Amino acid sequence: MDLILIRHARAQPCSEDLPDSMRPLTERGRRQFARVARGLDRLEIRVDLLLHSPWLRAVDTAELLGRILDGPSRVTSLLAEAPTVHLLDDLVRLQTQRVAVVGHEPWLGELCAWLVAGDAGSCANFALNKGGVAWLTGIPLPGGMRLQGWFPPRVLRYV
Amino acid sequence: MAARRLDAWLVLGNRRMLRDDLRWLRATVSRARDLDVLIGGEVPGWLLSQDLLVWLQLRRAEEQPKIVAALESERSGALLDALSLLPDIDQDTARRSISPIVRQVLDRAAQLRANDDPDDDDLHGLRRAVRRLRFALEWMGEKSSALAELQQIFGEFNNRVLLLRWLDAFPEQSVTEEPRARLGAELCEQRATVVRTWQGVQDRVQEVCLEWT
Repeated sequence: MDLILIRHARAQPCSEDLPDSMRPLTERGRRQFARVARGLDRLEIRVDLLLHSPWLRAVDTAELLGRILDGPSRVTSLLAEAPTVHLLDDLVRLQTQRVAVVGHEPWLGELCAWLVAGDAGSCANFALNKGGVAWLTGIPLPGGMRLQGWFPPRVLRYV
Repeated sequence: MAARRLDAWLVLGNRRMLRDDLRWLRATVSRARDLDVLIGGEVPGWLLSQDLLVWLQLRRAEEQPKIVAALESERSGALLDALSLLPDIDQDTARRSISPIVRQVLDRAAQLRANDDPDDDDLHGLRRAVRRLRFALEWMGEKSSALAELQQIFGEFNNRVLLLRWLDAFPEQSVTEEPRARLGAELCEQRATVVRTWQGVQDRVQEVCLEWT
Protein backbone atom coordinates (compact mmCIF):
# COMPACT_ATOMS: atom_id res chain seq x y z
CA MET A 1 0.00 0.00 0.00
CA ASP A 2 1.05 3.59 -0.65
CA LEU A 3 0.00 5.66 2.33
CA ILE A 4 0.21 9.44 2.07
CA LEU A 5 0.09 11.22 5.42
CA ILE A 6 -0.92 14.87 5.15
CA ARG A 7 -1.10 17.37 7.96
CA HIS A 8 -3.82 19.99 7.69
CA ALA A 9 -2.89 23.41 6.32
CA ARG A 10 -2.39 26.54 8.40
CA ALA A 11 -5.53 27.31 10.44
CA GLN A 12 -6.83 30.14 12.58
CA PRO A 13 -5.63 30.05 16.17
CA CYS A 14 -7.82 28.82 18.98
CA SER A 15 -9.75 31.36 20.98
CA GLU A 16 -12.53 31.43 23.55
CA ASP A 17 -15.09 31.68 20.76
CA LEU A 18 -13.39 29.19 18.49
CA PRO A 19 -12.94 25.66 19.84
CA ASP A 20 -10.03 23.66 18.45
CA SER A 21 -12.20 21.38 16.32
CA MET A 22 -13.90 24.37 14.63
CA ARG A 23 -10.79 26.20 13.49
CA PRO A 24 -11.03 26.94 9.75
CA LEU A 25 -8.05 27.35 7.44
CA THR A 26 -6.73 30.85 7.06
CA GLU A 27 -6.88 32.38 3.59
CA ARG A 28 -3.11 32.11 3.39
CA GLY A 29 -3.22 28.50 4.53
CA ARG A 30 -5.82 27.73 1.89
CA ARG A 31 -3.82 29.45 -0.84
CA GLN A 32 -0.58 27.79 0.14
CA PHE A 33 -2.10 24.35 0.44
CA ALA A 34 -3.73 24.65 -2.98
CA ARG A 35 -0.17 24.94 -4.30
CA VAL A 36 0.89 21.92 -2.22
CA ALA A 37 -1.94 19.92 -3.82
CA ARG A 38 -0.84 21.12 -7.24
CA GLY A 39 2.71 20.00 -6.39
CA LEU A 40 1.47 16.52 -5.45
CA ASP A 41 -0.45 16.42 -8.69
CA ARG A 42 2.66 17.38 -10.66
CA LEU A 43 4.54 14.57 -8.96
CA GLU A 44 1.75 12.34 -10.27
CA ILE A 45 0.76 11.26 -6.78
CA ARG A 46 -2.80 9.94 -7.00
CA VAL A 47 -4.93 8.24 -4.36
CA ASP A 48 -8.00 6.01 -4.56
CA LEU A 49 -9.27 6.84 -1.09
CA LEU A 50 -8.95 9.85 1.17
CA LEU A 51 -9.51 9.47 4.90
CA HIS A 52 -9.79 12.63 6.95
CA SER A 53 -10.50 13.77 10.46
CA PRO A 54 -13.89 15.38 11.17
CA TRP A 55 -12.30 18.58 12.46
CA LEU A 56 -12.94 21.55 10.23
CA ARG A 57 -9.33 22.32 9.31
CA ALA A 58 -8.84 18.72 8.17
CA VAL A 59 -12.10 18.72 6.17
CA ASP A 60 -11.11 22.02 4.53
CA THR A 61 -7.64 20.66 3.72
CA ALA A 62 -9.14 17.47 2.28
CA GLU A 63 -11.37 19.61 0.04
CA LEU A 64 -8.27 21.05 -1.58
CA LEU A 65 -6.96 17.59 -2.48
CA GLY A 66 -9.63 16.93 -5.10
CA ARG A 67 -7.12 17.01 -7.94
CA ILE A 68 -5.21 13.97 -6.64
CA LEU A 69 -8.28 11.98 -5.58
CA ASP A 70 -9.51 9.28 -7.96
CA GLY A 71 -12.03 7.71 -5.59
CA PRO A 72 -14.21 8.36 -2.55
CA SER A 73 -13.47 10.11 0.71
CA ARG A 74 -14.30 8.96 4.22
CA VAL A 75 -14.43 10.82 7.48
CA THR A 76 -13.06 9.06 10.54
CA SER A 77 -12.72 10.16 14.12
CA LEU A 78 -9.74 7.78 14.42
CA LEU A 79 -7.68 10.58 12.87
CA ALA A 80 -8.73 13.06 15.55
CA GLU A 81 -6.97 11.18 18.32
CA ALA A 82 -3.71 9.36 18.96
CA PRO A 83 -3.34 6.43 16.55
CA THR A 84 -4.78 3.16 17.82
CA VAL A 85 -4.87 -0.43 16.66
CA HIS A 86 -8.38 0.31 15.35
CA LEU A 87 -6.90 2.76 12.86
CA LEU A 88 -4.28 0.24 11.76
CA ASP A 89 -6.99 -2.45 11.49
CA ASP A 90 -9.01 -0.12 9.26
CA LEU A 91 -6.00 0.58 7.06
CA VAL A 92 -5.10 -3.11 6.79
CA ARG A 93 -8.64 -4.02 5.80
CA LEU A 94 -8.82 -1.45 3.01
CA GLN A 95 -9.07 -2.89 -0.48
CA THR A 96 -7.39 0.14 -2.01
CA GLN A 97 -3.68 0.43 -2.70
CA ARG A 98 -3.24 4.22 -2.66
CA VAL A 99 -4.61 5.95 0.39
CA ALA A 100 -4.21 9.46 1.77
CA VAL A 101 -4.99 10.47 5.33
CA VAL A 102 -5.45 14.06 6.48
CA GLY A 103 -4.98 14.61 10.18
CA HIS A 104 -3.26 16.42 13.01
CA GLU A 105 -0.02 16.55 14.95
CA PRO A 106 1.30 15.02 17.10
CA TRP A 107 -0.84 12.05 16.04
CA LEU A 108 0.29 11.88 12.42
CA GLY A 109 3.90 11.88 13.59
CA GLU A 110 3.04 9.08 16.03
CA LEU A 111 1.35 7.13 13.26
CA CYS A 112 4.33 7.62 10.98
CA ALA A 113 6.78 6.55 13.69
CA TRP A 114 4.65 3.55 14.58
CA LEU A 115 4.38 2.37 10.98
CA VAL A 116 8.00 3.01 10.05
CA ALA A 117 9.93 2.39 13.26
CA GLY A 118 7.43 0.16 15.05
CA ASP A 119 7.36 2.55 17.97
CA ALA A 120 5.15 5.64 18.29
CA GLY A 121 7.53 6.99 20.92
CA SER A 122 9.91 8.36 18.31
CA CYS A 123 7.17 10.60 16.90
CA ALA A 124 9.21 13.78 17.41
CA ASN A 125 11.48 12.57 14.62
CA PHE A 126 8.53 12.35 12.25
CA ALA A 127 6.62 15.54 13.03
CA LEU A 128 5.01 17.06 9.93
CA ASN A 129 4.80 20.78 9.33
CA LYS A 130 1.37 22.24 8.56
CA GLY A 131 0.59 21.18 5.00
CA GLY A 132 3.48 18.71 5.05
CA VAL A 133 3.31 15.29 3.43
CA ALA A 134 4.91 11.93 4.16
CA TRP A 135 4.76 9.05 1.70
CA LEU A 136 4.97 5.53 3.11
CA THR A 137 4.88 2.19 1.33
CA GLY A 138 4.36 -1.31 2.68
CA ILE A 139 1.89 -2.98 5.01
CA PRO A 140 0.22 -0.69 7.56
CA LEU A 141 1.38 -2.61 10.59
CA PRO A 142 3.86 -1.47 13.27
CA GLY A 143 7.24 -1.34 11.52
CA GLY A 144 5.65 -2.61 8.31
CA MET A 145 6.14 0.51 6.19
CA ARG A 146 9.07 2.28 4.59
CA LEU A 147 9.42 6.04 4.36
CA GLN A 148 9.41 6.68 0.65
CA GLY A 149 9.27 10.46 0.64
CA TRP A 150 9.12 13.42 3.00
CA PHE A 151 7.81 16.65 1.51
CA PRO A 152 7.85 19.90 3.47
CA PRO A 153 5.06 22.14 2.14
CA ARG A 154 7.55 24.70 0.86
CA VAL A 155 9.11 22.11 -1.43
CA LEU A 156 5.77 20.98 -2.84
CA ARG A 157 4.67 24.56 -3.46
CA TYR A 158 7.58 25.02 -5.86
CA VAL A 159 7.35 21.71 -7.69
CA MET B 1 -34.52 12.37 2.91
CA ALA B 2 -32.51 14.32 5.48
CA ALA B 3 -29.32 12.90 3.99
CA ARG B 4 -30.37 14.10 0.54
CA ARG B 5 -31.13 17.57 1.89
CA LEU B 6 -27.72 17.65 3.55
CA ASP B 7 -26.11 16.53 0.32
CA ALA B 8 -27.75 19.44 -1.51
CA TRP B 9 -26.44 21.74 1.21
CA LEU B 10 -22.89 20.42 0.75
CA VAL B 11 -23.16 20.97 -3.00
CA LEU B 12 -24.31 24.54 -2.35
CA GLY B 13 -21.28 25.01 -0.12
CA ASN B 14 -19.09 23.73 -2.97
CA ARG B 15 -18.00 20.86 -0.75
CA ARG B 16 -17.05 17.40 -1.93
CA MET B 17 -15.95 15.92 1.39
CA LEU B 18 -18.62 14.17 3.50
CA ARG B 19 -20.82 13.59 0.45
CA ASP B 20 -19.45 10.06 0.08
CA ASP B 21 -20.18 9.45 3.76
CA LEU B 22 -23.76 10.62 3.29
CA ARG B 23 -24.02 8.39 0.21
CA TRP B 24 -22.83 5.44 2.29
CA LEU B 25 -25.43 6.19 4.98
CA ARG B 26 -28.20 6.52 2.39
CA ALA B 27 -27.20 3.25 0.73
CA THR B 28 -27.28 1.52 4.12
CA VAL B 29 -30.82 2.64 4.94
CA SER B 30 -32.35 2.79 1.45
CA ARG B 31 -33.89 -0.70 1.44
CA ALA B 32 -35.45 -0.11 4.85
CA ARG B 33 -36.76 3.27 3.71
CA ASP B 34 -38.37 1.71 0.63
CA LEU B 35 -39.92 -1.04 2.71
CA ASP B 36 -41.24 1.48 5.25
CA VAL B 37 -43.01 3.35 2.44
CA LEU B 38 -44.59 0.14 1.17
CA ILE B 39 -45.58 -1.21 4.57
CA GLY B 40 -46.57 2.19 5.92
CA GLY B 41 -49.90 2.27 4.14
CA GLU B 42 -49.15 4.23 0.98
CA VAL B 43 -49.99 1.17 -1.09
CA PRO B 44 -53.57 0.20 -2.02
CA GLY B 45 -54.95 -2.81 -0.19
CA TRP B 46 -55.49 -4.89 -3.32
CA LEU B 47 -51.72 -4.95 -3.83
CA LEU B 48 -50.74 -6.05 -0.38
CA SER B 49 -51.98 -9.54 0.43
CA GLN B 50 -51.40 -10.70 3.98
CA ASP B 51 -48.67 -13.09 2.79
CA LEU B 52 -46.88 -10.35 0.93
CA LEU B 53 -47.19 -7.94 3.84
CA VAL B 54 -45.68 -10.47 6.25
CA TRP B 55 -42.88 -11.18 3.80
CA LEU B 56 -42.13 -7.47 3.43
CA GLN B 57 -42.16 -7.06 7.21
CA LEU B 58 -39.64 -9.87 7.51
CA ARG B 59 -37.40 -8.23 4.91
CA ARG B 60 -37.71 -4.97 6.86
CA ALA B 61 -36.76 -6.73 10.10
CA GLU B 62 -33.65 -8.06 8.37
CA GLU B 63 -32.61 -4.50 7.58
CA GLN B 64 -32.94 -3.23 11.16
CA PRO B 65 -29.62 -4.58 12.53
CA LYS B 66 -27.78 -3.09 9.54
CA ILE B 67 -29.31 0.31 10.23
CA VAL B 68 -28.52 0.17 13.94
CA ALA B 69 -24.94 -0.91 13.21
CA ALA B 70 -24.51 1.91 10.70
CA LEU B 71 -25.97 4.55 13.02
CA GLU B 72 -23.83 3.37 15.93
CA SER B 73 -20.70 3.13 13.81
CA GLU B 74 -17.63 5.27 14.23
CA ARG B 75 -18.18 6.61 10.70
CA SER B 76 -21.69 7.90 11.47
CA GLY B 77 -20.43 9.58 14.62
CA ALA B 78 -17.57 11.20 12.74
CA LEU B 79 -19.94 12.32 9.99
CA LEU B 80 -22.28 13.99 12.48
CA ASP B 81 -19.33 15.65 14.21
CA ALA B 82 -17.94 16.94 10.93
CA LEU B 83 -21.32 18.25 9.75
CA SER B 84 -21.87 20.04 13.04
CA LEU B 85 -18.50 21.79 12.67
CA LEU B 86 -19.07 23.17 9.16
CA PRO B 87 -19.70 26.90 8.95
CA ASP B 88 -22.76 28.46 7.30
CA ILE B 89 -22.68 28.87 3.54
CA ASP B 90 -22.46 32.42 2.30
CA GLN B 91 -24.89 33.54 -0.40
CA ASP B 92 -22.19 34.18 -3.00
CA THR B 93 -20.86 30.63 -2.73
CA ALA B 94 -24.38 29.21 -2.83
CA ARG B 95 -25.30 31.25 -5.92
CA ARG B 96 -22.16 30.10 -7.70
CA SER B 97 -22.63 26.47 -6.68
CA ILE B 98 -26.26 26.17 -7.69
CA SER B 99 -25.46 26.56 -11.39
CA PRO B 100 -24.44 22.91 -11.98
CA ILE B 101 -27.59 21.78 -10.14
CA VAL B 102 -29.75 23.94 -12.40
CA ARG B 103 -27.81 22.81 -15.46
CA GLN B 104 -28.52 19.20 -14.57
CA VAL B 105 -32.27 19.86 -14.50
CA LEU B 106 -32.11 21.65 -17.85
CA ASP B 107 -30.07 18.82 -19.39
CA ARG B 108 -32.46 16.18 -18.09
CA ALA B 109 -35.43 18.20 -19.31
CA ALA B 110 -33.89 18.53 -22.78
CA GLN B 111 -33.24 14.79 -22.80
CA LEU B 112 -36.89 14.13 -21.96
CA ARG B 113 -38.15 16.56 -24.60
CA ALA B 114 -35.99 14.89 -27.24
CA ASN B 115 -37.48 11.52 -26.43
CA ASP B 116 -41.04 10.82 -27.64
CA ASP B 117 -41.28 7.71 -25.53
CA PRO B 118 -39.24 8.36 -22.37
CA ASP B 119 -38.26 5.31 -20.37
CA ASP B 120 -38.11 5.01 -16.60
CA ASP B 121 -34.42 5.95 -16.53
CA ASP B 122 -35.16 9.28 -18.26
CA LEU B 123 -37.90 10.01 -15.72
CA HIS B 124 -35.80 8.98 -12.74
CA GLY B 125 -32.93 11.12 -13.98
CA LEU B 126 -35.20 14.15 -14.06
CA ARG B 127 -36.74 13.20 -10.71
CA ARG B 128 -33.34 13.17 -9.02
CA ALA B 129 -32.27 16.44 -10.65
CA VAL B 130 -35.52 18.16 -9.68
CA ARG B 131 -35.28 16.91 -6.12
CA ARG B 132 -31.77 18.24 -5.72
CA LEU B 133 -32.75 21.62 -7.14
CA ARG B 134 -35.75 21.81 -4.85
CA PHE B 135 -33.68 21.03 -1.77
CA ALA B 136 -30.97 23.47 -2.82
CA LEU B 137 -33.49 26.26 -3.34
CA GLU B 138 -35.11 25.51 0.00
CA TRP B 139 -31.74 25.97 1.69
CA MET B 140 -31.64 29.38 0.04
CA GLY B 141 -35.07 30.24 1.37
CA GLU B 142 -36.82 29.81 -2.00
CA LYS B 143 -39.83 27.60 -2.59
CA SER B 144 -41.14 26.50 -5.96
CA SER B 145 -44.62 25.01 -6.20
CA ALA B 146 -43.80 23.64 -9.67
CA LEU B 147 -40.85 21.66 -8.31
CA ALA B 148 -42.86 20.45 -5.31
CA GLU B 149 -45.74 19.32 -7.55
CA LEU B 150 -43.37 17.53 -9.85
CA GLN B 151 -41.51 15.84 -7.05
CA GLN B 152 -44.76 14.61 -5.52
CA ILE B 153 -45.91 12.92 -8.72
CA PHE B 154 -42.44 11.56 -9.44
CA GLY B 155 -42.27 10.18 -5.89
CA GLU B 156 -45.56 8.30 -6.25
CA PHE B 157 -44.42 6.84 -9.54
CA ASN B 158 -41.11 5.77 -8.08
CA ASN B 159 -42.83 4.07 -5.14
CA ARG B 160 -44.89 1.99 -7.59
CA VAL B 161 -41.74 1.02 -9.51
CA LEU B 162 -40.15 -0.10 -6.25
CA LEU B 163 -43.24 -2.07 -5.30
CA LEU B 164 -43.18 -3.88 -8.62
CA ARG B 165 -39.56 -4.88 -7.94
CA TRP B 166 -40.53 -6.30 -4.56
CA LEU B 167 -43.47 -8.14 -6.10
CA ASP B 168 -41.08 -9.62 -8.65
CA ALA B 169 -38.84 -10.77 -5.80
CA PHE B 170 -41.66 -12.40 -3.81
CA PRO B 171 -40.95 -16.17 -3.76
CA GLU B 172 -44.51 -17.34 -4.47
CA GLN B 173 -45.06 -15.75 -7.84
CA SER B 174 -48.52 -17.29 -8.26
CA VAL B 175 -49.77 -15.16 -5.33
CA THR B 176 -48.56 -11.94 -6.91
CA GLU B 177 -49.40 -12.72 -10.53
CA GLU B 178 -52.62 -10.76 -10.61
CA PRO B 179 -51.40 -7.75 -8.59
CA ARG B 180 -48.28 -7.59 -10.76
CA ALA B 181 -50.33 -7.50 -13.94
CA ARG B 182 -52.60 -4.82 -12.49
CA LEU B 183 -49.70 -2.81 -11.15
CA GLY B 184 -47.93 -3.07 -14.52
CA ALA B 185 -50.98 -1.58 -16.23
CA GLU B 186 -51.25 1.10 -13.53
CA LEU B 187 -47.61 1.98 -14.02
CA CYS B 188 -48.17 2.62 -17.73
CA GLU B 189 -50.97 5.04 -16.87
CA GLN B 190 -48.93 6.64 -14.14
CA ARG B 191 -45.96 7.06 -16.45
CA ALA B 192 -48.23 8.94 -18.84
CA THR B 193 -49.49 11.08 -15.93
CA VAL B 194 -45.91 11.90 -14.93
CA VAL B 195 -45.08 12.97 -18.48
CA ARG B 196 -48.29 15.07 -18.68
CA THR B 197 -47.52 16.69 -15.33
CA TRP B 198 -44.02 17.44 -16.49
CA GLN B 199 -45.34 18.98 -19.71
CA GLY B 200 -47.73 21.10 -17.65
CA VAL B 201 -45.08 22.54 -15.35
CA GLN B 202 -41.96 22.51 -17.52
CA ASP B 203 -42.25 26.18 -18.46
CA ARG B 204 -42.47 27.12 -14.78
CA VAL B 205 -39.49 24.89 -13.99
CA GLN B 206 -37.59 26.47 -16.85
CA GLU B 207 -38.36 29.92 -15.42
CA VAL B 208 -37.04 28.84 -12.01
CA CYS B 209 -33.90 27.49 -13.66
CA LEU B 210 -33.27 30.60 -15.71
CA GLU B 211 -33.66 32.73 -12.61
CA TRP B 212 -30.72 30.89 -11.04
CA THR B 213 -28.36 30.69 -14.00
